[in-house]
Amino acid sequence: MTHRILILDDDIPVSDSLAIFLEDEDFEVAQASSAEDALDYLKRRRVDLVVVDLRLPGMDGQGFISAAKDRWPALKFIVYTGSPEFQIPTAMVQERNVSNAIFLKPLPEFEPLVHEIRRMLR
Amino acid sequence: MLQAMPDSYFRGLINAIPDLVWLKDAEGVFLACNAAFERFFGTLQEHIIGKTDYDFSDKEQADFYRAYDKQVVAANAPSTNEEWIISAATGARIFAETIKTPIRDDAGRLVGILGIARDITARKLAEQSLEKRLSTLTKPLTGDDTIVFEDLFDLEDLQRLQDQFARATGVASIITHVDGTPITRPSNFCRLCNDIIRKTEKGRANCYRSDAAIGRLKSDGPAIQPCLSGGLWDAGAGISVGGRHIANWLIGQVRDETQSEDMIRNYAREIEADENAAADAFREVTTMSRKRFEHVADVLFTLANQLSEIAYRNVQQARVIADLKRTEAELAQIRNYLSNIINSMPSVLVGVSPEGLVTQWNVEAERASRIAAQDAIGQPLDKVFPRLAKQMERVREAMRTRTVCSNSLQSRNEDGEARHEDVTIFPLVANGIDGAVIRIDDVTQRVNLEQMMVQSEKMMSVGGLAAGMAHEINNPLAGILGYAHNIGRRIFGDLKKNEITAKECGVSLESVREYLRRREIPKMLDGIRESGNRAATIVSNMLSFSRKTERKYEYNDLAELLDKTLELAANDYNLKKYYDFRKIDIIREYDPKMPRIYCDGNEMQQVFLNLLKNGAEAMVEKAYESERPLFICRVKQTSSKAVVEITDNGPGIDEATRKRIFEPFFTTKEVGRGTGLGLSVSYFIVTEQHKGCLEVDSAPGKWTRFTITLPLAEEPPHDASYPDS
Repeated sequence: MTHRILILDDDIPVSDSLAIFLEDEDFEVAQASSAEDALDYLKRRRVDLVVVDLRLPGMDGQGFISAAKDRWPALKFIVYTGSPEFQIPTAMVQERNVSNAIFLKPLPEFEPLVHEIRRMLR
Repeated sequence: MLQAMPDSYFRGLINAIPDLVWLKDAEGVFLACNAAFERFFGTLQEHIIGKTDYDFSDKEQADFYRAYDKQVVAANAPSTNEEWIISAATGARIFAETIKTPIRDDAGRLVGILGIARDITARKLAEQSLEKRLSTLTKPLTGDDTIVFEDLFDLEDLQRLQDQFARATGVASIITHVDGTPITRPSNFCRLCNDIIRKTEKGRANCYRSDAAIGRLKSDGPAIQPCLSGGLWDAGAGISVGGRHIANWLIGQVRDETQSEDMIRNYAREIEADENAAADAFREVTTMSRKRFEHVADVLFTLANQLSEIAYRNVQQARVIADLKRTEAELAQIRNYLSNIINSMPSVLVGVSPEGLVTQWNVEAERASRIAAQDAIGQPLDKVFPRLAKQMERVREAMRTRTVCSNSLQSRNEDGEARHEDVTIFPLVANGIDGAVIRIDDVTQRVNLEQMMVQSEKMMSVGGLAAGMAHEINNPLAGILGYAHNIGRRIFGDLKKNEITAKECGVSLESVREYLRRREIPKMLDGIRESGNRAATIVSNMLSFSRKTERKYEYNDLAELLDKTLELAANDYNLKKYYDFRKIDIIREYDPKMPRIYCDGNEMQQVFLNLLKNGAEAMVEKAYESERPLFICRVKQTSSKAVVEITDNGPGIDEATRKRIFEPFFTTKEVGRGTGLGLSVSYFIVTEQHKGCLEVDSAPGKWTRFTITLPLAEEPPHDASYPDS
């Protein structure tokens, strides 16, 4: 079964380059440039995992995870951010659906991220 | 005499010398002496030759002479001494200045000791009495009670005056205390008074009583009356100091028709003296008319008043001298106090005259210049303190404008270490004193501290900036790197879609790849990736300057961390590109009793790695001849600090580089090699995050040593709110 990944990032080249890579890894990929758009998309389509940027216009990545994880309990999240100071809040560390690994931009190689995606989806 | 002298002329000369001259052999046996020596010791040369001092002086004295002779021989130079010389035979003693000279023959053998002694007894006694008078005169005069006649006058001078006065006028004379007891010796006394009346107890007492009465103080003229003892005519005048009666000057012992032989006979009986002898003596007494005696008495009165005047002046003088002495002592004390203050200053203080000659040189100046004050004073400033030569223009300016010229920071190199000095010039504007004082303070510590603060300020601002822009730069970098990665994969990656798409386009994937390879596209992609990665590293390094709290503090074994880092360095691919870490010798000197240190292990490793990389890169630059590249890694402890030293034997660093080595973006590497952040990040981690110290020392051409000092605290030095999780 092909997994569907949603990339939530307002930076198009970042989102685009990751999407291309994931497509090449045979994932189905969708993109959203705001938390609001992403929630809207989730209502319409089944998604297995969201790669979440934190700094976003409107609702930020953390708010998005909080809002989405209750409505879609099976949904998984991985944080991919340009803010190196970010820490996963202690409450979220307990969540099995939120990866404890944070991926910091720029990633020189996407393989570790893909590896984590596959682990989360197992 | 002095037969050793072949020439009679010289013999005569030596014998004519009033000084004692003698020659002894090395054992102290007399060889010769001159005539003066013979006279003093009361015997002839023939009885002196062959004998020693022990034959002429007591043992103690002879021992002294012998010891002194030996001393002169040992010193092999003439020696002068002042000593008492006593002749046992004649009992004569003189205070002599002796000069003893070792005499050697042409071959340099010791012949003996030549002695010359000059009698300076009189000079010595004069000196002593002068000293005594000076000291009594200059004694602080607290009250009139302490005034003693003898202290105010030279008694010998007065005696002479009194003698001459008596001889010239034909009267007897004496100066007595207020109570009539004599001060001076009687002059020109008649036999009746001197040998008869004063020889009896009653008579003498009457004489003193009379002298006391007649010598009383009177302002209107001399007291003239018959003596209360023998009844001869006497006259007297008091000597006073500032109105206080201190002595009596008496004259008299003359008679006229007033006195009769019967009267003397009666008196002789009364005082139990020989009546006939008294009558005989009475007849010898000088007869003088009343008129003439009054004239003489008037002269006496004038002289006594003059003496009083002199005495008064002497006292005044003594007071002035005493005051002067006290002032001088106070001055000396103040001078001493001031020089103590000046010398206890930690600053170099140098006084200069308008001509630029040194006038003052304190202890610190001696220390800094290694020139003693007595050698420096009077010398041109630029000669004794060459590094102040440049300051002379400012010194002149300060003196001309009479304003303080301060804060010129001078830097210089002392034993390979930079020293900073603050030079302040104070013009001296007090009346009559021209010149300036130059103060030099060693402010090396302060300057270094300031530099360190500037350093960490810089880092903090870099950190703040980095935090703000990291996000903005990281996103585009993520795009660049992501696309480049995808391009690489879509051409060279093992993807099914690559094959499919190539087929759809009617080309073989292999030929596409071949074309691109020939056009060096893969290399370009690598270039993009590498550049992007480097930019990412810079941003990430800059971010380490921002204060972060999520450090993993725990107790770490520094030696273990260092070993791990060394291993890491040996296997680091990026390092291998530039140098082979395994070609570097490593000496480990770890203190086995080293306690664990509370720190962030990852950050410490980052610091070690940065230092090792820096050292390795530096050692590549050096052409080694006899030795090989070497790291000495030390882990040790002092009383309260943990110390890690990483020393390389590379080319070393010069002073200019050393100063800036921890500055962000400072690099000596070619453009594109280093980020210029490694050492400043290390500095930040050690000083800001771990409250430690990172220092660098170097001997250019020989070695460079980085020293990390961390607190060896029992308690965690950091708020451990983020323990190892």
